[in-house]
Amino acid sequence: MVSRLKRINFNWKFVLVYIWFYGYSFIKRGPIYVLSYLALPLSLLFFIYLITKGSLIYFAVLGGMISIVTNNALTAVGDISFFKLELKIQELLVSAGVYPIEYLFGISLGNLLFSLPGLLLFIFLGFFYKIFGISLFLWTLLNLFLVMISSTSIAYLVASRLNHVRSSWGIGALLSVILTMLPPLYYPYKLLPTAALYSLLFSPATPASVFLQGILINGKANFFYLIIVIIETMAYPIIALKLGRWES
Amino acid sequence: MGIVTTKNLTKVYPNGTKALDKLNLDLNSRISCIIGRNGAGKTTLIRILSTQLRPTSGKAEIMGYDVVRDREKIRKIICSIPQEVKPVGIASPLEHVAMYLTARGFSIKDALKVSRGVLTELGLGHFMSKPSDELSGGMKRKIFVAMAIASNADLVFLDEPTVGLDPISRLEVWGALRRLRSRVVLTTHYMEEAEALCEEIAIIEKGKVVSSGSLEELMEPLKGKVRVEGYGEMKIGSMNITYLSKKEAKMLLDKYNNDRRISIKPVSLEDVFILSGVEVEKD
Repeated sequence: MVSRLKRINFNWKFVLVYIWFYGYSFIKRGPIYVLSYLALPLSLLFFIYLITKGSLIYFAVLGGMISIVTNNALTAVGDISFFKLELKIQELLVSAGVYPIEYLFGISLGNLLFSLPGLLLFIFLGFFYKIFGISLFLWTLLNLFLVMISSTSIAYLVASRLNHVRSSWGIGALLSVILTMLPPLYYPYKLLPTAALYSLLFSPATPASVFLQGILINGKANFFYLIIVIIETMAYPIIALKLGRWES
Repeated sequence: MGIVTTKNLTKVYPNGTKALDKLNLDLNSRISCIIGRNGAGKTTLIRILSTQLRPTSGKAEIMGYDVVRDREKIRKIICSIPQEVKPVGIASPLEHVAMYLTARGFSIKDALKVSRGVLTELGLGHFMSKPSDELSGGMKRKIFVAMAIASNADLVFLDEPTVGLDPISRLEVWGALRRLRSRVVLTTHYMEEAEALCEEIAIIEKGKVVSSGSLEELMEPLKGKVRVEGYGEMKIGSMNITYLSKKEAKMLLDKYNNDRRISIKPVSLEDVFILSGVEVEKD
């Protein structure tokens, strides 16, 4: 990917302005969207706290962070297909010489910016419940960044293959359940049988969550899962760029 | 080397629809216009020329560059505004135009400066920071005209640029297009737009060019003639029409005792369009 970036003379200016266009303008003019992405993690935090009398609050906070990032990325299925099929913005960008990888970065980082208000709340809770200190917090940020890139790539791949906008929001919601509710975000991964855990590794949220649960909750890092997140962060964008439809 | 040249350009969609059928075109003027009925193939042609869509067969070149082989080079010199493009409701006109300009390689500072200037020029100065979903349909369309003007591209493709604009907004856009330094290829349904703006006109029907040339060249066969409505062998909807010399038309009116159902109008590009082979019903 690095050689490709060099070859195409990567347009960071566009990526930065697209983050402003897609991320900042949504936060500024549509704060209700930010709240909507917070609704599920905060509800689960509430129920988990209530049911477990606070003993699994760590999982609710950690799962909430990963869930915000992944859900924001996956709901981009709707935005990407809407921009392409209905608004024709993608068409405009193709003929302006934008490369799909630049678009992918713009959407990913726009989503990350869009996730920030929710993330800040959960980071505050993380410090409040002493889930992480500064150094462990950096591991968390790294994983969230990787999950954002890989999940957005999945969203781009799916959205770019759709022929009708009408199916996009449904698919986005379905993907969100498959990739964030089934994986061990809100519960200890040790509850899962090994086969089930391995079969859920296709979701970037799974290895990220297992790695973070290991270092933040169990005090033991399993770098195998970090490597999987890194591999997925490289593989999913490559697959998305190979199989996604950029031109008509 | 023409600005736009196509040779036997054909596009067949996967569902079997033949949108372009061995289309041959050579456009060399500063503002050229492609006119045709709905479904004639205008948008498919523009999409192929702007490297959005690959042709099934044939060849198309933009300023000597092949639309398939050299598409990355072409994208550096063109700006293409699709027909149905709409702004993202939550983003402002300034954000749209600046985003587009940075996509084309402008620095962020220049993109903002140029965007503000062009949006003001097009009458959107007071609205440039408002979310686009608060703007009228005409204002939304102007965002994309602003992109074309600000792009500084060598060649601008505009697919139906004034659809949905009120007469004043349309005149403003025409004025802006005339001031453009770029070469322009536009498609339109509005004959008066083609007459007002274009130095060269190509009429396409069923994926083929049926007539092309300057307005004067296209009007030449109708020189000295008038359009007679309410009489004649050609039928458009419920209206019969024919083309006669002024003298013949006067004789006809006298014969029918100035029947109010028969009227005489000067010929225009619309008549060239009607006579150029587009399908009309005949008695």
